[in-house]
Amino acid sequence: MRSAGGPATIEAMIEFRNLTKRYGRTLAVDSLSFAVRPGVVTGFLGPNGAGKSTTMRLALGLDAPTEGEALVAGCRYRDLQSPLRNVGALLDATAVDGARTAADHLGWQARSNRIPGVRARMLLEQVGLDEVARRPVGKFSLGMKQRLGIAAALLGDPPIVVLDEPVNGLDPDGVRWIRQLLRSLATEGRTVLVSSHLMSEMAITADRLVVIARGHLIADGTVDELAGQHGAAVNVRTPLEAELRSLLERAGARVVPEPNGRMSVTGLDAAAIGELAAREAIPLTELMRQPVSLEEAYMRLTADRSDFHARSTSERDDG
Amino acid sequence: MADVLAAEWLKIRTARYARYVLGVFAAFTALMPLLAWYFVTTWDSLTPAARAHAALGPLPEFLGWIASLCMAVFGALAITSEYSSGMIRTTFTAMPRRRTVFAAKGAIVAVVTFGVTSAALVATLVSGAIIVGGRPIADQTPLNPSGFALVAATAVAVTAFALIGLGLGAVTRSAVASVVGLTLLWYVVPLFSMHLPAPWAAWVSSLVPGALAGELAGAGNANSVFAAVLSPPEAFLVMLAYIAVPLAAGAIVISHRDA
Repeated sequence: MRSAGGPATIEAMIEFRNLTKRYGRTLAVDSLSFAVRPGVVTGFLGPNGAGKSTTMRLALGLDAPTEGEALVAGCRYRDLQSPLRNVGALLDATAVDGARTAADHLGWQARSNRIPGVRARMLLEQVGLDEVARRPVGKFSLGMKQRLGIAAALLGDPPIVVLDEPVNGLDPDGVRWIRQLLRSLATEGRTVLVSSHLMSEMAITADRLVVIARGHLIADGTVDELAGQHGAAVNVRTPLEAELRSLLERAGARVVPEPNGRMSVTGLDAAAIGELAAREAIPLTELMRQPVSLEEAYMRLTADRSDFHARSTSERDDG
Repeated sequence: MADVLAAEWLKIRTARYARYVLGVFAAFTALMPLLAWYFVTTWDSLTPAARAHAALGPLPEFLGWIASLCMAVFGALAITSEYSSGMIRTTFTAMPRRRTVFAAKGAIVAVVTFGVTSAALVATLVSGAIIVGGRPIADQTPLNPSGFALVAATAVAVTAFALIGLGLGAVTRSAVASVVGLTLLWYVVPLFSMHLPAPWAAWVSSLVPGALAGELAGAGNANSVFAAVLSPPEAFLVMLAYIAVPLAAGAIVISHRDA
């Protein structure tokens, strides 16, 4: 999966190199390194407070990294000539002046990057806001504000799109609309980075997943890889429970006892478990690979970090 | 810079705070001829003896005093409103060169403030003079070159107030903190400084921003809490310092702090 990133695609990439951000004594992002590639939707996942929004602010040059760097289209965001033509971002759809009309909200952003006004009108039509273009944004519902934010992100027809929790607070129609939009943006060859704290949403929308917790990168791969690596458990049943358990744990597996004398084993695949049991003459009455949902894989990935999070005090909450 | 100016100009024309602040100032401006007219009708009914005790303050100076606060708040809100709504992030995403954005905001705040304030002051000066007519009412700003010079100096001083507001807004990022600071400078410090022991009272009362318009125009600051120790060039330099210090502090803070 790492073959896509040749020099030809640098223009459309986001790259984090050893990125670290500290707020006072709180480490929000810790030596984060990963790349976001064009042509696919990359889901950026993590529990609330994992550092997703901080990472996005660092990518957009809003916050300065303590160490490392964030590169968009091959350079630092602040060095981009016409940033909106390179990167489109939606961080917070409610961050608008309520008295300003939708047309003016896009209008000032278009002027700032010499984007023709006709483009703003086209986008308002595309996101279904053309009829309310002359109404103050303060009267918009959250869903309408999200659409307006998406329109602003697409204003410069950018090859890179960064969206922070775009489906938050949307109704099912809006969620589906965003899902289809992200898909089509990726199909057009754009780089799409979209954050969420909901694995269920990303399982449907994203092709690749980057998972962080407490500022650390804990997974980076395709949706299938993640479900395979971190989810696959094997259900085993045996009359010699204690023996099998200690045998498997010595072999490095993690064993969770379940009701009915069954145990759930992770860290070893079914073949390895069968072989080990046979060698020690432990009879197995059941040996079955359990297909684990991405949701469970995510819960397992982030479980340890969340425990730590719950125990530590005085954390800066930052989605 | 031209693109940033165009964007910031559109923003300021369509912002909520601009409507509110300029609306309040317009209401006060409309009140000035009414005040003159009310005074004149009362004055006409008085006996000559009573007339000697009736006083109407100079209306352009009074309006200039109001304008100082309104426009200082206008300048502060030009930046703090974006911090409180979170829109500052959209601004810096679209225009990552923050000092350019800050300079554009400063230029627009200065031009709008100077334009609006001089128009309002001239209107007040002329309408007041017409309403008062030939009546010998004391303390009126004269409708002559020295009157217009005072109005121009007041508009410059109000513009300085607006830029102080912008600088304070950029440093504090808080509308409340900025307005508290501005009110201290506009009202509280002058009230206290006149009670300082000599020669401090005269010096401090000449150096507060409200005193500068009278000194800049060479008109002095009679009948006010302010003193007039400074010559016009000195007043101008002090005014520049009042603008430069908060703006420089704002420019440093805005480009180094996380948005």
